[in-house]
Amino acid sequence: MAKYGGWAGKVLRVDLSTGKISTEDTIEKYKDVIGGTGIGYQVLWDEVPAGTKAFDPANKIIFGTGPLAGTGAPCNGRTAITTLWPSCWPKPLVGSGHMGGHFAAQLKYAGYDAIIVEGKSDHPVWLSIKDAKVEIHDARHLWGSGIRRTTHEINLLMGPEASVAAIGQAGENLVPMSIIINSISHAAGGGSIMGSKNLKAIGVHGTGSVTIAGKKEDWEKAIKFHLTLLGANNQHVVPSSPQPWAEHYNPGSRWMASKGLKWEAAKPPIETGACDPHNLNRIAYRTNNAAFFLGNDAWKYTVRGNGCTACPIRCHTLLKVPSVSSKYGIPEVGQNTCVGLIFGKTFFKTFPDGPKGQTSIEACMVGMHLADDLGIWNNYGLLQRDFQKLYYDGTFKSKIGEAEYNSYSWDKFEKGDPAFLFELLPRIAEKDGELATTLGMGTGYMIDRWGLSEDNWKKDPDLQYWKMGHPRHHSSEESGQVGVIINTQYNRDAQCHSHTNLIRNGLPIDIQKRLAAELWGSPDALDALGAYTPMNKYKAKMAKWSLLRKELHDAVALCNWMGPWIASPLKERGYRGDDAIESLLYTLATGDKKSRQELDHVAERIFLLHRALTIRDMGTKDMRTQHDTVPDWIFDDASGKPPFSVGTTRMDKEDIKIAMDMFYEEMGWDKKTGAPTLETYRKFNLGKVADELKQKGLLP
Amino acid sequence: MGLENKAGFLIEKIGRLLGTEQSFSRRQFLKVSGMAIVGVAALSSLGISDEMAEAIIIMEQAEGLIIADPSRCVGCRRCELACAEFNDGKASPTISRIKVSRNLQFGPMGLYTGKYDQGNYGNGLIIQDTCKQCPHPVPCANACPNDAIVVKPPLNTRVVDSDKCVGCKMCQRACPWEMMSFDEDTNKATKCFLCDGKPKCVEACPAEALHYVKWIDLSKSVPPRITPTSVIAQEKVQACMSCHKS
Amino acid sequence: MITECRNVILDSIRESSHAGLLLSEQDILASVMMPQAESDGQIRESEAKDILHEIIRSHEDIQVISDRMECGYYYSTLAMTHAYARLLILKKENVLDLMVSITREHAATYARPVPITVFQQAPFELSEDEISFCTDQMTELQGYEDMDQITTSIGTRFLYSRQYLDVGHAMMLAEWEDVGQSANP
Repeated sequence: MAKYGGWAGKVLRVDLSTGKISTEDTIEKYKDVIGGTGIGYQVLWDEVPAGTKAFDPANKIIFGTGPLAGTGAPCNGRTAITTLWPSCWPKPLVGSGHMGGHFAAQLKYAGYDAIIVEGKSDHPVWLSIKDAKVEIHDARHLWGSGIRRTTHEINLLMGPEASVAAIGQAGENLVPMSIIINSISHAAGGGSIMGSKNLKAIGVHGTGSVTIAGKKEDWEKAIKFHLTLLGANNQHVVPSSPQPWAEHYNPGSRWMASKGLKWEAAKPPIETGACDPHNLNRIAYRTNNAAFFLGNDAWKYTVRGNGCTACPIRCHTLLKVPSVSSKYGIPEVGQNTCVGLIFGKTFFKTFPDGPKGQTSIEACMVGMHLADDLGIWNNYGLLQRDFQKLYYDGTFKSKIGEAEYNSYSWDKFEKGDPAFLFELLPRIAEKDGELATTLGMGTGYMIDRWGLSEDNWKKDPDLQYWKMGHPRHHSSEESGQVGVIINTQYNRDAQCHSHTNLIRNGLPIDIQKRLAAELWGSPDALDALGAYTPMNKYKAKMAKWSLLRKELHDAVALCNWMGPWIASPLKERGYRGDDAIESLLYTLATGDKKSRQELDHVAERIFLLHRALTIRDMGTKDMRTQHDTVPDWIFDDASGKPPFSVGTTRMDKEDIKIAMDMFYEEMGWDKKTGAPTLETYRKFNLGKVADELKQKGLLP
Repeated sequence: MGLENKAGFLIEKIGRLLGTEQSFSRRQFLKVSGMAIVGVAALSSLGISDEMAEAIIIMEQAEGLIIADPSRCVGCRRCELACAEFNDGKASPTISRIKVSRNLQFGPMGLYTGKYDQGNYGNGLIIQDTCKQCPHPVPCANACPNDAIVVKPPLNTRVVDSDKCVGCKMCQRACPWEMMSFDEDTNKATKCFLCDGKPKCVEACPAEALHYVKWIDLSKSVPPRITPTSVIAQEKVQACMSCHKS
Repeated sequence: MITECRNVILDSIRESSHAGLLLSEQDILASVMMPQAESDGQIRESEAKDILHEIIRSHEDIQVISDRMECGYYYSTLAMTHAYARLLILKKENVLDLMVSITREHAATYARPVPITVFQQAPFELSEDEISFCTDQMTELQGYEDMDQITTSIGTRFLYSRQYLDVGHAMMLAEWEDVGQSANP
């Protein structure tokens, strides 16, 4: 068999029921799906029968990296976690979470592309991976500990370089809204799946290497080229304020660096300054997500940017807020990005000093401290939106007993006192009481348990609810029909950023449209925000491309929160990026020459597996009406503006039907049911998958 | 032959072989009176007999140095990867000649001292460990039983001559800063050679935390990570004694 | 001496651009015509102007932009874009025009309203008083009828031009930028 670079070469399989530890050859068994979610979906298809419940020992959890993880390819620090998603409602279906940090690289250096965890231990254990030495250890002394304590104790045993992915009390207690965390703040869902297997943590320390198949000179050149295409976080390619070198800027950009703006809590403070995109030694200063999400006051607390292995972007901002130590008794240093960063403040409707004042920052510090130790997931912010709704509309009061209701300091909540989080979050993790237990189940199961109506969620634009217990994730509000299509496809909130990384990149709309035309055949693939036009086939192409790139990134281990790179900050390139950068890096790293189109073909195979799994486990081929649904709020506008008028994100029902038709056609799926056809499965070498579905009557 | 004479002879011989004497500054050699300074690397690769080279433990000073600013380090490890990938064709922090990973999470004091107030789990400060290109003594070179750590002109970096390295790891025990790396694939030691004047790590840093500068002596300023435990060969001890008379 | 002079000017223009500054023709000429230490004689104005023309002719990156008084300002496109140079000229001349032209440009080019706080930050660095003076002028003076202000749900004020954006669209976009984007990371 040909020797490839990139891949570590082995997949580790750990059966916690029997204690058996074995390895499989990655190339032999999984090369057709590359890695990451590809391996995850394949394992679930082959090995986890339909009807399995999330917490059954028969469910499996797959930690998948890819051939680029652990290399110097920018933005590769990803581990995809695939399992039957516990908050998917009304029944768990395939889903994946994605964590960054240093876990993926360590796993590769230890010699593994993925870990398949199966079965269930009869007592709490943790898994130690030190190169070829893999052991299951007793974790009874760790059970009940938070993620930081667990990490510390495992590092004491494995050494300071080991990366530890652990669950907190939430995962142990089978709270569906729970996460797995490595490297302080890098989280993915699925904590309760580990908990259900009695697996507290995985520690991994690798001392080996990832071979680059191509010439080292070519690899160096490719990496430097890729670096020139990077923007700031989310591939925002223009700065947020006018910069001498920049033609364009966008106050909404995450490229925050500017003269006079400093990491003020660094010792001594560091000026972010002008970050001309040609200067590859200043990429790390571009992004400050704390300042972006928490407001300009965050600059004074910024120590530096932090993030994943080999990523120059540093989207997890490290903050030092001395006041929280005395006020709340928590460490003054904390870090996170995006929804993790704003976890604490979004529970509250108001703060005494305004939405971006000191208290809101302190609430974020408290939120990060608690959630990332207890291991609580917030379902892309839906947890907090639900919380506000259910408090203010009186649902809490009506659903839980008076004594329990009064055990919460609602006055603190209403005032915007971050101390309230100490009452709420530990109780969610411990399933303490009706309120906390129910919130921890996720929106869908909460609706069931309290006899509420999902219709109310589907109607309310402020809740941003989409379907199956999960919210929208970059849908119609910013990319019209393309976003709608993407949000119909997954069994949790869609984790796709391919489209939004283009739409929000800050370039003038005519440049964005030109780039769109180059890729999808017409500038009409893309509309300006809030100036949507009726569906066309180019939008279907863009939606398909977005989904496939997401799956490709999850498989090769590139960050879909940064890529794809079809735009760049480079004026001399006409702000063009390079849509073949994945192919360049993949080919050089692995030695497996694959063009952009060939890689997209593999990505489509992976995505089809996800579709097949969803169909099989739902037991219906009627995806169109049973699965690919959209909430009612996308068809409304508060001021009554009709669809396609300027200034509304309102969609049109008939037009969305056309959108789905066009998308199914683009995918080679049956328009009536939305199920892939036999020919399509065969085209992607998934004939056996089709055969099994046929037997079950699940082919169109 | 006294040491001074031997050095003079060697300088001439090397000069002849290289066709130039410019790589070795005669003035500098002579400035240090009573001592012989010569590049062991050049000696060995030029076929100078072991008998002559083995006692020579003074190396010409390096020209360059990588200096790191921890306050700017963002912990991405791109420096380590550039070092290994662009020099060795594989991604491997273990063989990287700049070392960040070991300090990344808990700082250089590690977990076991109870003083891990640095690193990602501490105050966020990440220390990048770099080779000091030691002046004299050069602990890794002195410890090598095969004189495989040699001076490489023109920058006079201390480098591993992999033809001579037998993989005994004595150098790893000798460096107070633990800057020797070991490649398990090749069974050879490896160390920072400044990429011959264009350090890949410096080029790769996205935060301007690394700089390539004219050599300065950090060997007296940077606290050691370990107490070296290496044995120095008898001939070298004698060479020490001949200058440092009691 | 002429060559030396030319090099010094060239370097100064490029350095200024790196620092985000324009170099005025006036300043360049004045500095060139200053009696040079350790040199014999002075460069005449015509010679100095020739040097400048020569620089423009032979260096593609060196550009000149004029203000309303037809005074020239030099910058290097290696470090500064025309857009930025124009912004600096506007800032120097008339902050009202600066705010208006930036706002119109954003509406036309990007379909975006502009948060007013932007004008307080670098490189605008207008005081709150200057900004409110300008926004008052926009309502009082002729020629600014297209300028309008809106406020988001968390109280952030945005400016936009009605010439390019309708009020509903501007409202939606401002709310998205101020509240929506960060709530949908």
